[in-house]
Amino acid sequence: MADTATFGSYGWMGQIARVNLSTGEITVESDEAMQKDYIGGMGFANKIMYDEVPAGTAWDAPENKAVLAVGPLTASGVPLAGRSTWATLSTFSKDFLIVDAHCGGNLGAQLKFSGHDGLIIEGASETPCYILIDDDKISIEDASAVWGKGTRETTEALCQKHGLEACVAAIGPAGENLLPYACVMNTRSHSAGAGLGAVLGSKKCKAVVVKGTKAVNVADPQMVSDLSDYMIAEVLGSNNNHVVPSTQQSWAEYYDAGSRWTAKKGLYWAAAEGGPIETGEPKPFEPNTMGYRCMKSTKDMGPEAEKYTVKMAGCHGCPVRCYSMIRDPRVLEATGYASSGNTCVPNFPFSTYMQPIMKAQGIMNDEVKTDTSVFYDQLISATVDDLGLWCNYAQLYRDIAWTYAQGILAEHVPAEQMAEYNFDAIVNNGDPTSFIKILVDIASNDVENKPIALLGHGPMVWCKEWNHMEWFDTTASTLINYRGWPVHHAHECFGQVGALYNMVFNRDDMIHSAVNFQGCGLPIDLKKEMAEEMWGSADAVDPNKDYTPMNEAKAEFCWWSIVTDVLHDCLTLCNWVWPMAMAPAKERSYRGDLDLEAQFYTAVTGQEITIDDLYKAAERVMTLQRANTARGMTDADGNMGCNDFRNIHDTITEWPFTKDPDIEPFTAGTDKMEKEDWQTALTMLYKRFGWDEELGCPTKECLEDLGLDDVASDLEELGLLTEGGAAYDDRTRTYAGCLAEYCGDNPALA
Amino acid sequence: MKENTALEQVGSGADRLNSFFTRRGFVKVSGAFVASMVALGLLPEPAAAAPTSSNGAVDYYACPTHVLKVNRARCTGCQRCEMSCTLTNDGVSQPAAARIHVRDGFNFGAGLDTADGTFYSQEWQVRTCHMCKTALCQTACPHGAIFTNENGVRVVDAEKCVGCGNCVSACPWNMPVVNTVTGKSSKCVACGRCVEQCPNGAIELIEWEDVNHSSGPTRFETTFPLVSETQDFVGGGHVA
Repeated sequence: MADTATFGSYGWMGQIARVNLSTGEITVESDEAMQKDYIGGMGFANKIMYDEVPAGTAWDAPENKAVLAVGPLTASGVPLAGRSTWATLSTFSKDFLIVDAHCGGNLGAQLKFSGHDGLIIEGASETPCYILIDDDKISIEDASAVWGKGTRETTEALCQKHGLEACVAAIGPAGENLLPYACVMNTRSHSAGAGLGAVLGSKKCKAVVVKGTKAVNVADPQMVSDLSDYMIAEVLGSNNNHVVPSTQQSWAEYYDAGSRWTAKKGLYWAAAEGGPIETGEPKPFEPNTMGYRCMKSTKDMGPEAEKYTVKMAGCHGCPVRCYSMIRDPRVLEATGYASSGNTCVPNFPFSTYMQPIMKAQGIMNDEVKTDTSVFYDQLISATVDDLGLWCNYAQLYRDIAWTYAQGILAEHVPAEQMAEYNFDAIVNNGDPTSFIKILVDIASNDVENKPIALLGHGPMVWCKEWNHMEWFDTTASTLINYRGWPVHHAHECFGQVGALYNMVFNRDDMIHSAVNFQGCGLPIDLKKEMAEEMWGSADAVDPNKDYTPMNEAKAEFCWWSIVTDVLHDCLTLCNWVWPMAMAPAKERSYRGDLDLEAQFYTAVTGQEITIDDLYKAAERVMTLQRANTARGMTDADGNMGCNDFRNIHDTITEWPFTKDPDIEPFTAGTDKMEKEDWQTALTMLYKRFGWDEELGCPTKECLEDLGLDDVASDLEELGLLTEGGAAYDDRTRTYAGCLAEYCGDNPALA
Repeated sequence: MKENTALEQVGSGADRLNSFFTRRGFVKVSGAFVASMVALGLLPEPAAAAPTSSNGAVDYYACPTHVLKVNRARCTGCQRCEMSCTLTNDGVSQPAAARIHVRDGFNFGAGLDTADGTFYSQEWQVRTCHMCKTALCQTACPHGAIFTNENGVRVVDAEKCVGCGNCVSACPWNMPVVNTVTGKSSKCVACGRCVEQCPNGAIELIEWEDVNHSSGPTRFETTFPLVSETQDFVGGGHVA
């Protein structure tokens, strides 16, 4: 055990940096008082936003803040603990309310190693600047030389200046131009979205550059190592914690074509230096082949991507390598960028999101993506990364495709610009290069002269401006909430469970706890057994597209999905793989280990805690954000301050209820929803959270039970507080140890 | 397709060590001396010898038993090796003090002129201790703080180390690191924990072999001067 006198407290670095770009003041402050109740990451960031940014603040006002934070597990050696969370005000969704933006790469780890759990950026600079954090030395530097540059060139220049190992999180032209769809990029392709880039742009903050040489002190390093070894050997699967391979393999009892455990014999990192490297058949209990399990390039882009695959990569500290590392000479020729690749939307923006609407020639061959398709996808990927252009979970791509296909673009965009955008070449000639012009013009945010830029303001704006609100009610839009965001694993994921958690934030949810379980590859009968153990009833889960009416087990499963996601964004762990609800090892009957977050927390911080304690802390963070939303949300008359979440916030769009017109809801073959059942679902979820069962807002009892008395007072003053609800302990199940009988190898139980 | 083996290497970098040693005149002398000792049967063949010191003495050490072998094409840049190294050896997670180095090359390789790193070739160097027969880190230490353990591995005695950094500058591969928190030097002890934690099997702990014949210094030499040294368009300093 390392001593705290030398290395500081366990887990947390204990302080947050505050940089005021208006006054130039730079301070650090203790975060000790927040640690227990808000954990870190999303919890810290949301607490600071609630306390310091008043309701009604404009996102581009100096009074708005951008808060970056990490948690006690970040960069501690715990697997998949390389992520970080930002919180700020939304630039694109209704009422511009509190949002979180998560990113991986190396930013969170470097911030932690610099000795900080967070960075609060406040005020606004008059001239372009960037923030340099070099361990304890924090300064505001002149960014005149990199203003106007893309994120890649900015990174290169600032690394040249401050050291090649520095992590640069930069905005590109989209952020500088205050385009609502702007993000912050680090480590080439790791993006923090939700308009954060425009917020930094409004502060004239080009980048945050971080270098850290300090230590994350851990209370029980041997236990961190032992738990890591145990988890990697037998509990952890592949990306999204898919626990069976995608093809039949001799070692595996099950396989599932949809699995992201895509390694197989004869599938190679074909562009690897020195010759192809076979992904092979990595198995459980083989820690040194874990990083081959997820062959994401061919999974996302089709078989032709194999020859451009150099390797997989990903975030700091994660053994699941889900990030495609692509070298496509056509992309180099068109953009000048030798490398590209991603693990999410920018890995397949055209082939998955635009092609179904645009139906371009040469992209699909018998439902298999072609070589041309790889070029389309990676050209867009490299371009948006450099522009720092966010997509609202692919909404930008669906919107470009639909407005083009419907002739809406041609109505609003001058003919000479349409000629430059050359959709004819994109659709008919296998040539995607005019996407560069399209995307550069969107990033310009010059709506007056380049009307296509309006798409970068989000559907809340452009659908209204161009009078196409029917897009929200069109299945192809996948827009799930009238406040401006699309599905992120919604009702196609366990029906009401997915649809409900798509409502709770002020952007797409990014919750993967449920969809991981859905796609893990285990048979439904086994999943039902597991559901009973974890959520109290087999009725929590239904087979795909064969959903049953709402019930309390589903509300429990949905609540768990939300609080685990929030917990991971606080700790910080990757919710794209965590929680460990299932495992690849037959030896443990495929059961996961729900206590691992708590055991790692104890090993790192030295503080005894149970998973139920952590869920409660996560619920506190969720409820705090809900209260923050109530303060700033406008009601039907446009007055600020509203607690009617049911009718004003959790407003699901129409198409999930009208799709598949010939099939009834709750019959096999559809994920169609039913309206009365939906209202029941909202009531059950509200009840599970202890919120007002009618309105969906946090109640006095619920807030006070969570220790949020000050929030209760605030809401009371605003006339937004209701009575009712129940204390946490009266509502919750006990999760601690619920899978213990399968966890005999867990070193913390020894 | 043929399986990748071409890039496996021990240590890292280009074949420049011999000229390095020739330039310093170390191995020429001690190597010949040791060779004659071996020929006379006075030393076992793989014996390690330190360079001649100013008074002509030659130290004799046990030969290292293990050395790390790396295939950088398999490295996916997760940096778990660095965190595991320090968790095991220092009780903390502190990549900057790790005894294996990935993070400094992850973005742009060994330098912007290499066209390596995530932004270019998507390959980067994984730098590991060469377990030299003639360990310059050890001979350079003015406090005798680097000793040879029973496995022939040079180990830093934290009690004696004053963090002067002589070992860092003496190592042709820039491998030891002076921990910015403790002020003590750290170097590889061949514990193998990085190997256990590598998700891609890019690192192996193999039986020792003399790797200095095929590898050479990868010390960071920034071939481009810093922007701020040559160009005045970057203002620097506080704007407010």
